[in-house]
Amino acid sequence: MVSRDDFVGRDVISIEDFSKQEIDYVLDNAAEIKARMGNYSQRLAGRIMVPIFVEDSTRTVMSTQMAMLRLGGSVVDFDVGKSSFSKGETLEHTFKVIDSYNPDVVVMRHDNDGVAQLAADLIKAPFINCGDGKNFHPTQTFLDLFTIREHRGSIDGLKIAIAGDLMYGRPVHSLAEALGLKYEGCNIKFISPEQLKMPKDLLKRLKTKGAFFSEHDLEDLELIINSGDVDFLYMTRVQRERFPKGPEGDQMYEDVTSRYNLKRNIIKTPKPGFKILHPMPIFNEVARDIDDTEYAHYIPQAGNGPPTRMSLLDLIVV
Amino acid sequence: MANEKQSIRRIDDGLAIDHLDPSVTWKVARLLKLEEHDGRVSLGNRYDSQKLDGGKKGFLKIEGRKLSSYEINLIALVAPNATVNIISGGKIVEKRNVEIPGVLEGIVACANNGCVSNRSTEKFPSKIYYSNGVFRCHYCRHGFYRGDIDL
Repeated sequence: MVSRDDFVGRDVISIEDFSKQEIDYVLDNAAEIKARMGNYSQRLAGRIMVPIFVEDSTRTVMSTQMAMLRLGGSVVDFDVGKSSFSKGETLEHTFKVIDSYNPDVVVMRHDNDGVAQLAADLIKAPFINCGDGKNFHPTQTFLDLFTIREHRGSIDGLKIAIAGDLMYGRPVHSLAEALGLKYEGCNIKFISPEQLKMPKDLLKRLKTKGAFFSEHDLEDLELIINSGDVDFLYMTRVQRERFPKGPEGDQMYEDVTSRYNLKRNIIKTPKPGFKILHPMPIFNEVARDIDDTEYAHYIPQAGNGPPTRMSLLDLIVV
Repeated sequence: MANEKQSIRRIDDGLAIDHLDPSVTWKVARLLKLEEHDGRVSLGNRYDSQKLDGGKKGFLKIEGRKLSSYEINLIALVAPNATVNIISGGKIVEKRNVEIPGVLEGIVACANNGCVSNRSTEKFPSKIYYSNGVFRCHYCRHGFYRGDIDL
């Protein structure tokens, strides 16, 4: 039986560190907070968050800081561009100094894989990973799961197609892990260009655990939507820097983006209640004419960022 | 064979590491930093072997050297079939097989080039867990295999 005591002082590095029951507890707490947000306005009064956003972020930094402020806590105004990060100080020294200030919680996004664990090892306060390199983005996964459950009522037995850059996309790795390794009977269809398939290591783990998944080329996207057999389509963007430099890479990128472009008229016979999710920002992979349809669910999904992150802060901050 | 045996002097106190694949004998010597050892070291390679598949083996005899269990097991990283004989008073007092330790600190680099432990500006040692044939980085949790290790 999971209780609040199981979360106090914990770090949030990867979704894999949480059992299904613990994830459900976080989501239940998020639902309660979303329904009665005003009741939590003093929950973290007097507590201080240190945000370290070394890599660019808009939604994650804003919704994480809003979550802390909505709980009555404070956020240190820390500009990485003017900090010792840009002066070449080692990460170890930076984290030890931050620890010596005794913050109540530290949140970080960084462009190296594994930095989150290093920070968590060196900082006594609870630590939340807001994205480390191409590795993990657990708070995005919590909000994705919250959105799925809020719309569908449950996560077990979910049928989802996950499309785009599956090799480097942090959100899709964490989401696939959660659905495939934690929940029962989920069926995942991975849709990507050949160059950006899911990492073999992750597919092997899913296979070992008996998760249901299949891999598809971009051309199958339309067929899968109109099969009427998926509850959600989780789109991610494909970035130019994932392809080789020079004209050959330009050509490969153009070839992929011309085939990976979801338009309103492609969606003909989806499953009733079918929704499109996206961690955002959206570029050309989802056409603007989808925004006004009943299928677009990425704005409500983003809106679940603050209550989901509030839930984590509420549970882990001492 | 008789001449081969006589060509390497026996040791009184120390270690004899046997059944090394000839391709890794020098690697084991480097792993144990034998170039820094101030006692007598004998290295034999491509001697006849009944046990190893290729019919040839390498071995090391190290006078006056003691190794912890952890150090002995590190040998398994490059020579999983090695045996380590601990010698005292001219006799073998213990014979040990080697197995890769569960935790490796500062020995093996993470195979993920993007891992923070591979950043040239950082000085902290790598930390790798090993279980059931899979190495996993403590920091980035990337999984990799023995063939991916560059020692």
